[in-house]
This record gives sequence, structure tokens and C-alpha cells, in this order.
Amino acid sequence: MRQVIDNLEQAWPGIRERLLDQGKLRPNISIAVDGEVTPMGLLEPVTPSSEVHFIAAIKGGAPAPDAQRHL
Amino acid sequence: MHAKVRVQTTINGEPQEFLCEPRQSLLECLRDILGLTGTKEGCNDGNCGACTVLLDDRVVTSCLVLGVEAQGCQITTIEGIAKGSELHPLQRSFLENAALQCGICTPGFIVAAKALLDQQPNPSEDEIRLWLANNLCRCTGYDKIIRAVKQAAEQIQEVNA
Amino acid sequence: MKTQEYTVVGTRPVRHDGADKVTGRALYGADFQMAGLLYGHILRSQHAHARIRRIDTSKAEQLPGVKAIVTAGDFPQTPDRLVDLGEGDTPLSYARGNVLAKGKVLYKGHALAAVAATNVHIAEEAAGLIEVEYEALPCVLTAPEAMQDGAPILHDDLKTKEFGEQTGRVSNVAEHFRHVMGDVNAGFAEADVIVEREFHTATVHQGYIEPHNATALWNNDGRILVWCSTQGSFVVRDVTACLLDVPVSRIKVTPMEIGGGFGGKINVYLEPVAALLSKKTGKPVKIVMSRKDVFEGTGPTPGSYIKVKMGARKDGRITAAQAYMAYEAGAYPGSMVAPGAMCVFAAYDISNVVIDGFDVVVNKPSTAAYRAPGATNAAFAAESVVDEIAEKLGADPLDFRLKNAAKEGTRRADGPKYRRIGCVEVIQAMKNHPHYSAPLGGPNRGRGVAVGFWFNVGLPSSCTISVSADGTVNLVEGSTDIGGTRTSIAMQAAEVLGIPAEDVRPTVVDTDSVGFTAVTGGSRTTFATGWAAYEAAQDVVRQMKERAAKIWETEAASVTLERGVFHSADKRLTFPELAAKLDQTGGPVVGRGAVNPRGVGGSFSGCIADVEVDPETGKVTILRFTSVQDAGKAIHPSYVEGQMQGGSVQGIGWALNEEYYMNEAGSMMNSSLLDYRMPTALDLPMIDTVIVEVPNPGHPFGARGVGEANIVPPPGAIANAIYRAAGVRMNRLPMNPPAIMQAIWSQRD
Repeated sequence: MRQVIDNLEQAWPGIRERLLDQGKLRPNISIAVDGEVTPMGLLEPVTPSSEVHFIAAIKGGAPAPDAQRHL
Repeated sequence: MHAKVRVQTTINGEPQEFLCEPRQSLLECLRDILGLTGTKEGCNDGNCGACTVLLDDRVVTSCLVLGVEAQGCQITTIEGIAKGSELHPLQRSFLENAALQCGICTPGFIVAAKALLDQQPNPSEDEIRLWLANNLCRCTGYDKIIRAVKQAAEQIQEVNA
Repeated sequence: MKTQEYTVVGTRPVRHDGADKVTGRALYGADFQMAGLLYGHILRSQHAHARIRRIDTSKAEQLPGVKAIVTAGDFPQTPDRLVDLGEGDTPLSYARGNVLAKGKVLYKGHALAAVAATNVHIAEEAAGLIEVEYEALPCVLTAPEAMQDGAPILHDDLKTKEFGEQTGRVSNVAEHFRHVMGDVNAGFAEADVIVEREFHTATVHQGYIEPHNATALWNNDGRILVWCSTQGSFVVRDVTACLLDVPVSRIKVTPMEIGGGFGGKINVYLEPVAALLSKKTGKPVKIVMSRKDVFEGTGPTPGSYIKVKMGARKDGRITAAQAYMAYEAGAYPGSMVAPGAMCVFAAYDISNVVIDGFDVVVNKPSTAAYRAPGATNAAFAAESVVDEIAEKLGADPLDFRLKNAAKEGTRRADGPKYRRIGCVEVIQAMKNHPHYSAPLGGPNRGRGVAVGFWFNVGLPSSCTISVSADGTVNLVEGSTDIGGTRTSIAMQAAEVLGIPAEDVRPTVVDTDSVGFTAVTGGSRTTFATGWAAYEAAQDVVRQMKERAAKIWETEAASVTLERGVFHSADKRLTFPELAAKLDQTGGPVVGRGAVNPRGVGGSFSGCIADVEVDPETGKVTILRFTSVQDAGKAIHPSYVEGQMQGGSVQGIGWALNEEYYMNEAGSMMNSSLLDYRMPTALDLPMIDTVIVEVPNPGHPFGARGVGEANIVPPPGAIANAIYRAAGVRMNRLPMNPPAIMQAIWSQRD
């Protein structure tokens, strides 16, 4: 997935900034591969036939689990 | 700070004496002075029924009763419903019928329902709903609570028959 | 996924915490006691929008019994930065600001100071002695008004983000996004029938019976100990650590039993305040909200303004759908407009869709999640329009929905295609239910239907299981139990181990004692923490097979476990028999599971409502109500039914009576349970339920999360029923007697 985003950045500069903050996926964004939200984020393997969507994260009403990222 | 008043009551069959300020509600006295935390506070103005106790067999919201008013009275709280280690049919029935989810309203419902069954051993669904209209539940939608009360009524009647 | 006969899953054991809950022995947050406890009370703003010129606590400090007072100034004075505390990066100043206001108060009820005293009455009295000098500002209370040029601005540093780009424009619109699929203009051009309607929904509250509470002790060793009723112990830990600028390891959160949440007990309000008071006093401090505080100082769900336009062909196929959705976020950005936008047309297969979503701040309490957040507002609008189109086409409401129902492979407007879902099955079950074809005689009566969707989430959960010598097991997990989940989780472990549910002893523990576990919400608890228990049980089974193999002097691979009995060749040992031998075969067996599952399925729900409308008073009586939902696999059917019934009744209250009735100064006029009118037992009939099981192929038992989707369709169904009963299409929530009479009278004129 990280490579997908790198490739996207080549074609559409600025998209990486929309998706990542300091190299990590923004907490308000989830990644769905073939209709299924992946817990692996940027490490998720992607095949040539995969369909990838960046969608609003649904987190059960809660703050992101990595709320301590800033510390 | 007001001078405290000595209050003598019978709670769940046992004599209890406590000191309270005149401004303290019976609910506060039960929970904070006597440590009987089974009775819950949901609104403190008589509108949710979570603080329901029996005062001389009357169903009351203890948040609207002053501690000093309980002088000389018989009080039944949720802690007095079971007979020792044996659950009351209502308590068993609530569990068997999954009539509770978060359980915060359950003590109030059980105390109120017990008073109903003591007075009206065979209540209809409408009678149950009317009697329990002042006990709010936000989790169950009341369906399983009504069924539990009905089943308990039947079980009590079977035992008495 | 093959259909299977389970021994425990699908049965109805009594919940493990049952005896405590029916005897009053269970300890909820407000019941917590500790030596030396002080009691806190929060001072709240009386203005909906004002600058804080001065706070003078000197008189309050002198009241005998007062031990400490804190304000926003007592937070660590760290420079503002962005933190990950919700859907998107939030300024730390916003996160702290809602807990204790700094500079400005943004809603009536906004906390701005707190007092700790020897009893709660003194604390309350002292709070009244705190002098606050306000500079009152004009307030704005609805999204459309807040979006207008010239509207009072809540945050000078809030600039609109539009389609992902920062516009630099200071306004009350935090964000505007848009989903586009296909070509709506072409779609509408193709339509034979087009309906476009506007809808308004009022702010409503989750209405949990137990007010918020927290006790905090800033201990002598620097650790901060917290006891509270929360939907997420780890959320409390992480957010409190962030606001207090301490490492998470310094905080330990012990969850007490919780008296309802529905999404409203995820956000953190009291814990940091109690901690600051404890730091100042050196004593534990307990704060319990009053009911008024709960209404005015926690997180209701957004009121909203929604426009929906739909077009369909004569043959019954929807050709285009468009939605404009402006949600009130309350004082700080972060309404649930994004999930609302994902759900508004989620039940339908539509090729041409445009959805515009706006997150708008207003001078109301900062909103929080409420059971399928954002979706109920959206479904009220969409399902009303669908109903009107079906009527214009002369189609049966359920047949029309079936013709357009989302299926596996249908693409949602926000992008992804559905995997295996049960939308069709739910609608079919509604059609087949006797309620749908039962005669409904009498004047002023009508029947309405609606469907709705909500996601489930995965997210991390952890679990450990230790085996006792008598063949019972202790199961330790971290999902606070709002509705019986410790049992549904225990049941999944019991199924794997082949032992009765009663032989699993589940405990919900503190944040030091179990691995990270995400919130009890998002319809995830039975699904994800159950999965962690499943994995932990599998781990136990692996180890026990090795033990049996040792005893039988054979290979572990040859040992099987079937219905609680270990076999190899002609040898057998029951689970308890083998458990009794553990200490002779290597010592204790402890299994662990930690998951962050994929395979999340969503849940569709539908309901049928029969109503009678009194044409003289506008009172709506619910005559009959049936809720249908796809549970995937009902682990404990009684509690699945309970979720469906509870969500339905919340939806009924939302539809008919509940609202924040605000005056022009932004004050909630009905902040009591008398006037914030939630359904009572007398207002309702029995709620019939039908559990549809379209197994979720992603989960070991096929479970889908069921907690939320059931609140989504009721307002739409009731609106559609009111139309058939009284001839008026309601476009506002709540559909209370005055609103219905207005609609009836307007119709007559």
C-alpha cells in the first residue's frame, strides 16, 4: 500500500499529503481493499487486480487507537 | 453545614440508625451514609425511577424523599429483595428473560415490580406497563422487562397454589 | 461458511454478572468509594457564546470544606499542536477546551472550572461563589444559519477545508466533502419520477440512565489512577494522558460497571478534571454529573439539515440520488456527517450519486457518537423520499426496495463494493412477516416501513484464558460490558473449548491487566473481542493437545478435540479430566489472543411500524412494531433481540418526542428527564424481532455487529406510517403533537 501511495504521488503530486501525516496514515482515513477495511494500513499487500479505496475512518465513535502518536 | 438529625428506620427488616443533614435526600442517605449503593441516581428529580425504594410499602423515588422523612418508616431497597442467597422470582425471571442490558435501571424496576406483584398477583400487560411507567429503561425497550414480570407473577402463583 | 450446529453459540445462558446486577451488588462508577475521597463539582457557562474576561475563585476557595479549584490554566502550559483524537487531527486546544474552557465559552453548559470539597453540596455551593466575567457574544444554533455569511464565528482559527484542500476561509464550516459516482444529471434526465425534499432533525441525546462519573487519584508515585464508567478504558487512558501531557504508562484506568453509553460515554469529560483536582489536593476526587450536566455538558448527536433528491424510472429502478447534508458538530468540529454520508443511500444499488457533506460548528454542546452516528438522520430523509417515489410509481414499498436493494458487489457512493451482506434477506423477511400483511383497520391508522445500514468495525482486542484444575477457565478481557458482552464473548471461548458457557468466568479488567482493547462501540464487541477470545481458546486447545499427547505418548497432531473431549486413537480425556492433569504435565495453561480483525461485515436493519394519529391532538400511538436485522450469526439470541428492541425504542423516541428545545439565547429549556421525553413502558407495545442470519464469511462464527443498525430505520418508518395515517409527510424530527397538528392544519389550508 505504501508503494501504491508513492506511485499515486508520482501521478498526482500532493495526494500523499492528503493521506499521510509524517509517513503514517492519517487517523481519519481507512483503507479498503476489495471492499474490506484493512487493519494493516500501509503494510497491506496489494495485487494488480486489487481495488483500493481511501474512505472516512469509522472508529466506533472513538478516538484513534494511536492517540499517543504525538508523544 | 447544618446540624445533623438522628433518623431511626427499619431497612430491609433490620433497624438502622443514621445521622444526616436535613437537606440530604433519602437516596443520598442510603448510598452515601449507609453504603447501600444498589439504589441508583439517574436524575435526582423523580423522573427516571432508578432510585425507587419502598417506603412503608409505597413505591417512592427516594431522591424526592428527605432522609429525615424516613424517621420511623420501613424501607425496602434492592438489597432486601433476595432472601439470603435465594433470589426472588423477579430477580431470577429478569435474568432468564435477559430483561437487563446495562443493569442500572434494574434495581428500581425490581423493587417497583415487587410492590406490584405484592398488590396485584396477576397483572395484565397494560397494568404492568402503567405501574412501571415511572421507571425508565434506555437499553431494553421494555419488552423483556414486561415478559419477566409476567413470568415472575406466574411463578409466584404456582408456588402459592 | 457452512451452517453448523453449535453447542454454546446460539443458546441463551444466564449472563455471568447476573446475580450482581439484580441484587444491586454490581458496582457502577458512582458507587466507587475510597478513603479520603473528595467530591468535585463543575462550574458551567450560562452563556451559549461568550469571551471569558475574568475568573475569580477567591471567594469560593474560602468556603470551609473546599480543598482545590481548577480552571483551564491548570492544564500543562504546552504549545498548541495537532493531536490524533478523533476523525482527523484536532488542535490540542480544542480537545482541552471542551473539558475546561479557555478564552471563550462556546455553549451553555461548557465547563470552565471545577471545585473539590469534602462533600458534594459544599463543592456545588463553592462553584456558585466563583465569579466569572463574561462578554456575551451572539450565538448561532443551526447549521444553515451558521453557514451563512455574517454568522457569528465560533473559532477564529477554524478555516474551511473543501474537498481536501484548505481554503483559508475562516467560517463555521470545518469541512465540506463530496462523493461522486456516475452522472446524476444523466440519471435524473432518465427518471420518470423525481422527488426532492428538505428535512430538519433536532439535537437528541443518547439518554443513558447513568450520568457520567469519574474518580481520579494522582498518586504519590506519580501514577494517575482512574475509576470510571466508560465505553473505552484505553480511550480514557490515552486521551487523559494526551490532555495532561503525561505518558500513557502513568495512567491506569479501572472500568466500573457502566449504566448505558450508546456512544456518549466514549469521549472524556471528567477524568482529566478529577486528576487535576487530585494533583492539587493529594486526595482522590470523585465527580458525578447531574442530569442537567449530562444534557448540557456531554455530547448529544448532531441536529441536521438534509436535502434528498431521488429519481426513478417507471419500471421501478432508481436512476439517480443526491443528498446535501449539513450536520451540527456542536462547539467543536467533528460531527458524524461522514458516516452519515456513507449510509444515506447505502441500502440501494444506484449508479449515479452525488453526496455533499458539511461539518458545521454551532453554539451547542460538542457532539458525540450516538448509536450508528449520522445514519439515523440520513435514513429519515432518504427513506421518506424512497417511500414517496414508491407511492408515485404505485409500487409496494418493500417490493420497490427489493428491486433496488444493495447486494454483494454493489458499489456504495463512497467507493467500496459490498462483500456478502443481508439487505435483500432483511427486506424479504419484512415482506414475509405476518405484521406486513396483517389487516390494519380503523381510521387514522397507517403502516410504514424503512430500512437502514450501519458498519461494524474491527479494531484491536486482547484476551487471555487460564485453565483451572477443575476444568473451568478464567477469561480476562478489556471490553467494558454495556449490554451482556462478557457473556457473548465467554460463549465463543466455551464453544471452542467444548465446555459449557457457565464454566467460563469472564472478567473485564483494567488497562494494566490486559492487552490494548479498543472501545465498546461500533458494534464490535461481540465480533472483535469475541474473536480475541476465540483465538485465546484456540491457543489453549493447542497447548492442551500437547499435554494430552504427552500423557498418551503420541504426537500432538494426532489429538483431536470434539465437543469437549480430547481423542487420540482409542484414548479419551474430557476437558476437565485433562485440566486436572495439567500440573503433572508441565504446569499451567494460559492461552492468549490479540486481534485486529479484518472480515468485518455490515448489518442491515428494517422495521415495520403501525401507528394511530389522533387528528385532534397530533399524538402518535405506536400500535405495533417489528424490527428485523441481519446478525450474521446471533451468538446469544436474547441479547441480539435486546439490542434490536432497545435501538428501536431509541429510534421511536427520536422520531416522536426527543429534542433539545433551545431558546434563542442557546439555552436548553428541557434539560430534565421530565421534559426531554424518552419513551416509557406505557408508550410502547411489545417489540417483535426477527433475527436474519446471513453469515459474515469473515468471522469464525459468522457474526456481524448488531448493536447499532436497529436505530437507523425507525424514524423513517414512523414518518411513512404517519403519512398513511394522517395524510401528511413530516419533514422534521421530532414528529411531536404540535408538529403533526401544524402539518395537518397546513394541509387543510
